[in-house]
Amino acid sequence: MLAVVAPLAVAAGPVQGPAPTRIAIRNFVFVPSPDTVRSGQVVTFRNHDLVPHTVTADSSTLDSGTIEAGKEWRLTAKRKGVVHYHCRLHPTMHGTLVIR
Amino acid sequence: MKTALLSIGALLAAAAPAVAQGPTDPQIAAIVVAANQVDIDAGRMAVARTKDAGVKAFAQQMITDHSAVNAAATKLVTKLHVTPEPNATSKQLTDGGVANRKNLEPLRGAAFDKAYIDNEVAYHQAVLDAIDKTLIPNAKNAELKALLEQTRPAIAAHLEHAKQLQASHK
Repeated sequence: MLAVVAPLAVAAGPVQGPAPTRIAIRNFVFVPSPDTVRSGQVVTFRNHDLVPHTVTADSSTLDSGTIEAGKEWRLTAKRKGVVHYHCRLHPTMHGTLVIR
Repeated sequence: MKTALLSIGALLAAAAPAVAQGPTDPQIAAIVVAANQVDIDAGRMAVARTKDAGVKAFAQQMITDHSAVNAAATKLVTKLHVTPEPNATSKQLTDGGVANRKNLEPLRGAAFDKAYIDNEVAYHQAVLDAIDKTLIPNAKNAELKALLEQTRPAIAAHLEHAKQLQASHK
């Protein structure tokens, strides 16, 4: 089941609550995965590959849009649960985010 | 069609013998550019020709990804002041790409989709083999080697994606 997550367009100053966590997209793998975060935690996905990727919930209720090479995308994990996601451009790439 | 599949695969598998003593860095650069361009051109043909949403999405991704790799390669060789040196392998790749598109030309519908995907599977497997057995082992410059190593997962993912499509387009 998809937890509600809200993308952040920009960093909004000092982060309140849990410290942010980073997930790397490198060599066509989401690292770490699965990753466990706390509700309210900011999660940053950074694309280290040469090509664009997306972070898209398997349920299709979340989509980062294209994350270009060298760019990143942030979201705030809201609702507790397990988010299974993949790259919409490269369907062999999968990841899991556990929100507690 | 089988001829086209064999020719592309054979070209890349034969990359080492085609460039005696193993390719130099400028030759590797030319091989990388040629290999990417071949798949970009095939992808453009497929995007224009196929009616299958999955095949079209795959083909568009091949254009995007291989263009990105070529852009990175071009940026790197510019930085390194390396001029890509056309060689027997890069020429064979380009010629093989032309032959492949010629073979695809008369095909329509499911026959085109199947032939395109079959070739993509063979092509990416051959590129993967060439990266592992010829290009990375012979690359001298650390940044060029790193670029090849960074390209490898993309080729492996494309191969798996193509195999998935192949299984659904038998």
